[in-house]
Amino acid sequence: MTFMDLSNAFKQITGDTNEVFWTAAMKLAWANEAIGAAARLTEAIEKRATIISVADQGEYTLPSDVQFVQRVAFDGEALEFTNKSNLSRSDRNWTDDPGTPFQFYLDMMNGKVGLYYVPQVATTLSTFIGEYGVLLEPETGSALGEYGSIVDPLDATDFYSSEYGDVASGVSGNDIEVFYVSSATAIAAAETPDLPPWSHGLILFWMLARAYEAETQLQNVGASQLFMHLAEKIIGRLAVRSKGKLPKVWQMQAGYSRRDDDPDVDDRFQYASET
Amino acid sequence: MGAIVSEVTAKIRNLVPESSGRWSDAALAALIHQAEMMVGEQCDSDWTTTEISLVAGALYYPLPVSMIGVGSVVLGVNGTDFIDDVLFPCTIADLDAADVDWRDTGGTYPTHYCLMGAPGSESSRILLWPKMETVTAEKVQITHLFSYTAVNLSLVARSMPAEVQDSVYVPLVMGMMYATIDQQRANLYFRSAFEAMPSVRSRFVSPYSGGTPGYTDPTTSRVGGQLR
Repeated sequence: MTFMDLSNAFKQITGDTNEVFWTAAMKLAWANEAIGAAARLTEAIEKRATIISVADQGEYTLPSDVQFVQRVAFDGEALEFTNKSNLSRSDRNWTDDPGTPFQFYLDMMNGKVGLYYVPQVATTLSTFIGEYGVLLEPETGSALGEYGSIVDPLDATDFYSSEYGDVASGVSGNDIEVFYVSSATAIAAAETPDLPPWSHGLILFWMLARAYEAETQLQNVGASQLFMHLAEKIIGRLAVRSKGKLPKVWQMQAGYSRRDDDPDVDDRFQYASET
Repeated sequence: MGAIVSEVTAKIRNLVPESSGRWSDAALAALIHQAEMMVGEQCDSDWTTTEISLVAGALYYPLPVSMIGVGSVVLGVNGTDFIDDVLFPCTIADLDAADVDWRDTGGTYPTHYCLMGAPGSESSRILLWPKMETVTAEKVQITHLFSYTAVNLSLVARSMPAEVQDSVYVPLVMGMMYATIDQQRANLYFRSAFEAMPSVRSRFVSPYSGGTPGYTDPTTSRVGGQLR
């Protein structure tokens, strides 16, 4: 649902079809306020960014929409979290010590992720880390273009440098993957918010709540509170859907150590009901 | 069973006979759509399937925006019959714990899936692990909770049992209509609708493990036969 769709529903509900009381700019501001609050409270938007490492460079700029970082991996392997204080206590030369990174730290004041050790070797990226595949229309079997396209995974000259498909060529270096909860991107009138469409009612109700809160001839504090309550109810449901994505019966088999050399990975997973 | 847009509109017109001046059919359709999205999410009322063609070397695949939640992910080796393995749900932390180098580990078929982001958001992804070394025709079929994302012909054709319309849709729409006029009355409508939702949901959730979800008439016993 685009903002225009939500705005049309707003007009239908309020009867303000000519935008006499509430302008399009006011509604768009309220919609973006709702989108930002919902994304922050529900952590519904998770992304994976890829940064190509550079020899002798320890710190890298994080994507601008990072709300908080969940996981950082170097060359596909997860790094342990640490901080600058711990590093400075354990290694006087931590900013320059060369080697294969095994820890990361965050400098959120400056929007940076740092690696320890500092990577030295920039090798040609040989493994595809992008995402591929198309979704098929269930009824017709035709591809839905908006969901991405298939690329040749063996062609290492082009690869997706980000999850939205920016192609970078001739890349060498190891990849740093940053998995993070993203803040919402403000939308324009013709754009669709990056929240599940079933939850877009929260944006509509938030707009209505703000509209009836505003000091106009139609100000109605009771209606404002009622609409805000509906918006908050949907935000609560979205938080449940966002944070409880997987079936509750699932858990890792207890007692497993990642130092185990058993190569049979599948044996380490089983349903809780089987333990 | 009846079409919700036409039947709920008719029920509203009967309850508020003078409503057509203030509330056009389009306005009521917008409210019914909002009600439908709330019912669909809270009552687990509509399930569908989406198929994803697997690609060699790929780990992450996008999800359709009509998705509310994932029920199951099943592998179809021939791309047609989804009778092969059911993929296990897990988290990326589970994969890290199980195999440090999981990203680069290839396999014959994926055995596990993870979800990134709330299903339905445009940036949400499903991670299928391990990635396949070679692919012929393999697909996975995702059974998922479905939402009607727009006021369109699909929504117009959407049908629901009359008792669900009466207990949930009509009070939700009435509540939204009266929100600006009489908040006490609107509150009563909302309370009535939200209190009815768990009961309606229980009718849509299959009591049989692995069974196909569908509506069960409230007068019929779950173990067969009519209730006395």
